[in-house]
Amino acid sequence: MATDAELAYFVALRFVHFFAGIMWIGLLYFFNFVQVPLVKELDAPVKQALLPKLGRRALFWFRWSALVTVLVGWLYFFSRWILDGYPNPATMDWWYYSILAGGLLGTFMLLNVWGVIWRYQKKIIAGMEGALAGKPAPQEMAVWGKRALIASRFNTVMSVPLLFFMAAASHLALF
Amino acid sequence: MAWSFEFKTGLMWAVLVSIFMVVALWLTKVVGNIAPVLIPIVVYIGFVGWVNRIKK
Repeated sequence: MATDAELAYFVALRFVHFFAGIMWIGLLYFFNFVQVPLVKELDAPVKQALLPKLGRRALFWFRWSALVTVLVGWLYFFSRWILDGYPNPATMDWWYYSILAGGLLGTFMLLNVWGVIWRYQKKIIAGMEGALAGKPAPQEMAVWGKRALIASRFNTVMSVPLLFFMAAASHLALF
Repeated sequence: MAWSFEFKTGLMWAVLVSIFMVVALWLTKVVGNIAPVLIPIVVYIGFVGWVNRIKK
């Protein structure tokens, strides 16, 4: 039976995890369902003026909320694992399997955020800011955009099983 | 969301990784150790390698 202090610790972690997670996935859905379709309808000068400023602000909250979500999630997972007496895969209950599935998918998504999406978006933003200052835009910008967009689509699709396993951990025991 | 190249390929890889994740966790339960989780990790590394090699 967990003590009051342990319960408070887990509720605090869960709250931060949910708060940062909502910010992360909310911005992900904004990019995929609102911004990308909108950008296709904008004229080039509007894009150049708008996207660097929007991108810098939105991607700041996007990438840092992703990091906080995943780190706090793993802290919660290992804290519970320790408190439960280090269960191994043979003795783990459904909660561990479901959270592990969601947590690993979320970790892949975090790696996409920092290793693909932000990695290329910061180059694109710098290229657009340079173009506004009169410098020629890098020729690779279209390829950078394509790579970042594929990773963003990947994360949007992946968020569905991720949310399923996170919710199923406490509400649906499949085995 | 249009069925663009980006959407189709993002969807394909995400579904692939998700399926392998479920299989790996089921195998983890069956064999009693965590090693099968390496399967989806390898598939994900395949995605990262592929997406960073797109040329045009």
